[in-house]
Amino acid sequence: MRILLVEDDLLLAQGLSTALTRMNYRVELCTTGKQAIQAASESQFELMILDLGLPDGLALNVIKSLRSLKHGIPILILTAWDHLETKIEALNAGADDYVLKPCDIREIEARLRVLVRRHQQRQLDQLQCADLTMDLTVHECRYQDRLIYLTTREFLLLKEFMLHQGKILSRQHLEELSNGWTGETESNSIEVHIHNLRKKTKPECIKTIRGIGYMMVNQYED
Amino acid sequence: MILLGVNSVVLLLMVITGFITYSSTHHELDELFDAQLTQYARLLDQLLIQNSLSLDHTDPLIVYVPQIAEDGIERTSAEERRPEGHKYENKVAFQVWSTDGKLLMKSANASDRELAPRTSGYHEVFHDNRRWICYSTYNREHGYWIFTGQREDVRGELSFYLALDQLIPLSIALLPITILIWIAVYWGIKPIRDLSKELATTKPSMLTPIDITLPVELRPFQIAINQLLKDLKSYLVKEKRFIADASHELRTPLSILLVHADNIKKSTSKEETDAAANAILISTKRLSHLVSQLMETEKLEHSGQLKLTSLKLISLIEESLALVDVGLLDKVEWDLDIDPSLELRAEPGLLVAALRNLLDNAAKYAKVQSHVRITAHVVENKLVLTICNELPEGIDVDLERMGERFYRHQSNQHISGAGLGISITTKILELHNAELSYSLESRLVITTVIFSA
Repeated sequence: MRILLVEDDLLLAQGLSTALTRMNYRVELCTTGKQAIQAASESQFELMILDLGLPDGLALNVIKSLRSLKHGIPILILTAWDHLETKIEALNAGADDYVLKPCDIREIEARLRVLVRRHQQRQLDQLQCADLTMDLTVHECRYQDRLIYLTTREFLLLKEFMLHQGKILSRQHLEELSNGWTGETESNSIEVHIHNLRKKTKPECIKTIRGIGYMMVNQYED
Repeated sequence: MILLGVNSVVLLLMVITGFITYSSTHHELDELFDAQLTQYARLLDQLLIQNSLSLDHTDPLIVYVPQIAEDGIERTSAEERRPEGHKYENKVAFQVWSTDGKLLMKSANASDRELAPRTSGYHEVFHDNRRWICYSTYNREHGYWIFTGQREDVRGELSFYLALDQLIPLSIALLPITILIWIAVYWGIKPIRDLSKELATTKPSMLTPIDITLPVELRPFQIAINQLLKDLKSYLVKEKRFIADASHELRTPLSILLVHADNIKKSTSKEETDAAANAILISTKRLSHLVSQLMETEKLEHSGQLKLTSLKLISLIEESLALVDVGLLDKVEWDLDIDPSLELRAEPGLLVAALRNLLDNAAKYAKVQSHVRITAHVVENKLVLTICNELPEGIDVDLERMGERFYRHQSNQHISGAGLGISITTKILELHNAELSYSLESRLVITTVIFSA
């Protein structure tokens, strides 16, 4: 799952990024509202963590701009502003949650899951695709009731497939998800990760759509 | 309490009035009755001369006096006037004595002893335990003494009743007077009651001015209270803003500490641990700097009038430069163009701190090895101090927002500070009746301080 973190304080951004990456999220960082709007428009993110006090003004305009572009990305406000009016204004503008700094990273992560769950109209954090199950709460994956070990990138990719079963995910999106904006960009790295996932689960579960990308089929023959 | 006080005063005045009336009446009656006694004596003497009173009588001549008992019943003057006479006749007596001590004539109520001493004039004597005022006169030609006398209690009684007659209407009027005073006091202090009610219902969080119509006498009081409420409100607003600003500024460094502390706990590599520890260190320094600056700002917010003394500007600049961090001091070339005779009135400790902040910032936001130029000159009786520094590449400033508490430009977030230095400086300069402004010419930042004369 890719998260767009919009935070101008680099120390805090670095800390949040490290903590969320450890929890199997891919975090991309923007430090201004302008960058955030551009990133959200050009890349696919599951969620945005937005600081309100950005160098180029109050981030309420970011929310308003995204919503005016019909961008439905869930937005979690993480800010030091605790004025009631600001909270109401942010939520009315289209933010999905409002968290006050300082906040424990576990709470932030739990709120992220809630937002994504709500956005994807799921009720549980347990994903299932035939014999394959994934528990987003504890970051575990089981195939035929057997716990399988996945690397961070494999977990990220598999989670993405399971969240979007039956939908084609572009190669570019998967690469961004796997490598991030600053990661390595070997052209065959996605193939390697997909190969590993097929090996650890069932080869038929992830189907290659030539020239476009990959798709998880939710009904395959065992 | 007011009512009790007013009534006590009225009562006291009544007692004093009564006493004065009694004394005055008593004195006047004394004079009147004394004159009467003398007249009686003279009249008696003339009658005796004209009627050729025989001094050879064996028995004294007794003049009838009706015996009317005093029963203590109050009667009108008309009722007291009886055909046989008046009961008060008993209280007036006379005697006529021969030179050789023989009683020649007396009123029936007079005793057989001499009423008064044989000395011409007035006397106070006691007969039957009663005080009498007597008058003695001697007829040398015919050789007899005439004594007239009157019981003193008549005079006292009369004075008492006269005083009482004056006080009774006043006493009767006391109750209505009390009621009227109570009503007057009640209505008189109604505005005070309203004011007190208004003050009692004023919530500390509201502190709205008292907007009621008060009598002219209470207006200054109302104005003073409203001014106090206004000052209190402004103080509370400042406090609230300070707390809001401070809590806002503290939240981010605290978040950094929390997140990185958690990261250290869960780190799996030395690099991760080092990065988190380093972030905690930086954030702790930032917090410590922020807290000390917050305290400084808070102190200045409540500063009153400063104790200003005349000082040489050049000395203040040199002192401030000496306090600039060595790293920053060496970062740029300092050009000073200040007339050594220029003076200004300042509180040295505070102004040096402010100038140090300006110089510190000038060096901080200057190109390495560039020149920071400090000049001063007098324009229209005002001392104008300017500090110019050249901005390095990649650093921008927003002139309109500089001096705003906690403001730092987005491109300068990596430069240490909490955005409070300039706000403190502005406050110090305000206290010195000086104005701080910034201008930008190309990449040259010009900081101007104008000290009003």
